[in-house]
Amino acid sequence: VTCGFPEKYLALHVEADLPLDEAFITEKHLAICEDCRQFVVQLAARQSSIKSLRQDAIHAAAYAGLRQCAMSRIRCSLENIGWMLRIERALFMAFRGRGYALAGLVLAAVVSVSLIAQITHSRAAVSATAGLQGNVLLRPHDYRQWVLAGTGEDMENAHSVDASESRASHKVYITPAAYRAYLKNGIFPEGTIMVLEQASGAAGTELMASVKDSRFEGGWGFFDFGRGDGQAKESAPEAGCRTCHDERAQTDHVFTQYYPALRPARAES
Amino acid sequence: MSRVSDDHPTPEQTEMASLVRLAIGGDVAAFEGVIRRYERRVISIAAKLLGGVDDAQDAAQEVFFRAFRYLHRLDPNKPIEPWLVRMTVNVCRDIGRKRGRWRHTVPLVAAPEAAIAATGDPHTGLTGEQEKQMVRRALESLPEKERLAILLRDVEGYATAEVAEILRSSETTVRSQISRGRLKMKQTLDRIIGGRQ
Repeated sequence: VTCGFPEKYLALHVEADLPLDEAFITEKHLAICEDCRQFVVQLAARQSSIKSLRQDAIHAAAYAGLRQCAMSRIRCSLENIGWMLRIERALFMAFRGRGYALAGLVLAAVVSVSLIAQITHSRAAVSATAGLQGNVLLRPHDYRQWVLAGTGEDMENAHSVDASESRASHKVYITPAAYRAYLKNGIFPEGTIMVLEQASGAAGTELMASVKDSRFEGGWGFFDFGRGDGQAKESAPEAGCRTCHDERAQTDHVFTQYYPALRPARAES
Repeated sequence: MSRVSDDHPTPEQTEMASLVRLAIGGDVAAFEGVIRRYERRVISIAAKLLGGVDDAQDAAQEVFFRAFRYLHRLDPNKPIEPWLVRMTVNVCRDIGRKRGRWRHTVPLVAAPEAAIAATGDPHTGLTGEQEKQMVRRALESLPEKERLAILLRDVEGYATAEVAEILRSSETTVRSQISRGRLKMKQTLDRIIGGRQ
């Protein structure tokens, strides 16, 4: 419109959708503005075209099967209601108040998430020891994706690194789930695997591992893969790593005193 | 629809409230009564949103299935219709997006015979149907929120307050969507059918 009166008011006025105060202003203006009156007449004509869609007839045949199908689906669903929906229904029926029921649902969700987290956590621990069959451990291939607990420089006192060897070539990795659990409560969970990698240039990489498993003496098993790519048997109790780990490791057979990544939890525990 | 805030419910509203209460308690036969009462409304809205009766039938079936499944969430003291219509809009949005027909629906085309039968005059009937097609296209060209507001207010005839309740929006917002939508519709229709009249 040319008079500058807001068209949005006219668009609502045409179907009496304006609140009282705005309707009053609009009617007052229309009484004196021919241009706006014409605009409203045109709008009313278009509204009439729009309303013509109300008469879109849908054949009765379209309804024929609908109710029958819907009811059949509903009856079938009665036998297969999921447990979440059952709980939700019970809560709504019991409290009959949306707020209480929603609070109940939130509580149920929190408990479920917590349970799932615990299950996932224990699965992670189990998967870490999945490579352990009896007293034989399969060489882990993805250990470099685990958490780096320390390097040769950190562990020269622990693993008697030879002065002739590069200290940087020694690395100790720990399974991520075990690392998280240790940081949380200062205890290495069952299934923890630690790997000592000793890279010797062209000669290849030597690998040793320790696994926390209550079946082994002292709760830990020690495995020496050497440069082999297959599997290693648990070392005899009196041989190899065990004696030193028994005597000198500060926390549960692990040299936490030397590994920077494990020190925070050690200090707290 | 319930025609918001009636102090004294009509006998029909009372009967529907009673059916809904029974259905919430698990009475399947009572829910069939609910379907019988609202099937036309649901299928009509779905047909306009999806542009075809076949899709509308699928949508309506899904709406009533979901409605029965989640009926316990409905406050039995409130009318069921806004809830059902909201669910219809949501189901149609899901179906439309899956089939790529939410923004550009296939226009609902009534058979020419039906249009002629409605007017008794082949020429008038076809002209009326052509005009409807253009209105549908103009409606389709609106942004989603304005389209829904116009469809519910002007085509389906719900009051602004009811549209706000269905779309879970404020009356002010819905009023603004309706106003913008009507002005755009006028502009589009003036352009495409203005010269024919």
